[in-house]
Amino acid sequence: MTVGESKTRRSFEPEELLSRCVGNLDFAQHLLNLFTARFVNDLDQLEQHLQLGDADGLMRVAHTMKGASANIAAPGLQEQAGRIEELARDHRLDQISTRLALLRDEWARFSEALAATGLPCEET
Amino acid sequence: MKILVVEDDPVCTEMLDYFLRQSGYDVTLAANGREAFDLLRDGDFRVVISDWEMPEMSGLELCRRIRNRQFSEYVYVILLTCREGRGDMVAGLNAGADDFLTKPFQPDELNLRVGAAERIVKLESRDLLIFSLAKLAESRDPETGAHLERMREYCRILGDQLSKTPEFRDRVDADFVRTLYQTSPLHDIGKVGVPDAILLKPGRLAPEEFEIMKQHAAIGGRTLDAALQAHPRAEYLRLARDIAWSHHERYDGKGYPRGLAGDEIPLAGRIVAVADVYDALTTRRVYKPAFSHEKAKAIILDGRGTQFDPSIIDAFLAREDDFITVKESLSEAPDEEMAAIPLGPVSAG
Ligand SMILES: [Fe+2]
Repeated sequence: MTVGESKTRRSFEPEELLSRCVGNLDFAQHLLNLFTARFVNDLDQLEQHLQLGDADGLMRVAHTMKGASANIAAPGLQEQAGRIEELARDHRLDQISTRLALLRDEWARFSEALAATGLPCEET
Repeated sequence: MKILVVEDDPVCTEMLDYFLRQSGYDVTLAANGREAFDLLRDGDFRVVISDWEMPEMSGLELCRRIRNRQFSEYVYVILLTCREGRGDMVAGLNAGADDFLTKPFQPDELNLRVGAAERIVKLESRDLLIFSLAKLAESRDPETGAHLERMREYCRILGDQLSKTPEFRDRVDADFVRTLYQTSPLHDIGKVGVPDAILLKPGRLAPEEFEIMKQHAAIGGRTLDAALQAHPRAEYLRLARDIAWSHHERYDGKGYPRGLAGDEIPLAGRIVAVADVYDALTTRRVYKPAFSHEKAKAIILDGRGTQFDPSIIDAFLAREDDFITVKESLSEAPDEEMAAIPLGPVSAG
């Protein structure tokens, strides 16, 4: 595992998500399905924008990922996506590939944490 | 109530959609500001919940466009913000946002904000509906000009003054005054049931014609009472009914239609009676010129305890200056008054 600031942040807070879903497990499950499907797709999008050197595209996608992560109660992903958004905003594209790797690491941690909750997702 | 949700993140969209539907709202989704704006032009959305940052058109830009466009009904806008973006609220307010909801949100936070939005848009439509009904009734009666506008200001002044007195403090609160302000224009709504031959007759009415004219109070009262029976929870209808039915009652019991006396007369009716007569006295009628404030005041004081509730006359005296201000700021050009409804010397329409 790479050393990162996300160590202090939990990967997934299922209680928080459930509270936002007023305890409705099915609905939480449904949201997680939506989230994971979109997130995997967004990771590829980030990769593509980075190859094209498209800072605006990077910023926009990272912003959306940050917001979605916050909504799904994934603070680690929220933070990593937020870092990429900032770097893209400052046009520091050279640092983004490192950050993207950290985001992928965090994504793996999130997936593990999610699997551990017994709320596994269909799409992953 | 129809709500337009504008959000590009599917998780957030789904949450908003799900919880709003659970609360019984009719939800339509748009993925960006441009799509939302097109939907707004076609649909009758009263509340918009929009994300801040979106592709195509941002929430801020959407908000500005909504305000510039001036839809026929007010559109209430709630902007979704990120926790770290608090400094942006000023920009949101400047763009015309009404409220903010921070993401991620709890369902009860969402309900709270949307509930507030609903109350405000309903209040506005209620006010508009009442006033247009009153205006419709008034349109058959060309004499009155800005009568309704002045009347409700006078009512507000009297209500406000009464709310400060120990005797009325418990009954007259800000909500009472607000509802009084909104419903007092309905006092003569029953005139729609009075034939034109009498309503528009130039010159004084014959006694039997006057009897028919007097029926407007009971017609209005009964009409609004029927509305109240159908919507028993609409408190404003109760006040509107009381006003229409009792604004021609006299404190000494010699008024009409029911001859109620003293506290039997609903408080709102006693307030409107003073406001209505003051306005009739200080504006021109074919059978009388517009009296000065001093002359109107003398006539009203003369009716203290006979025609009018003494407490309300005290409130009138305490706020005389405010009456004069309203009278002068909402006075009309003299040639705007054409026909007249003669109702007797100190009677109002
Ligand atoms: Fe009247």
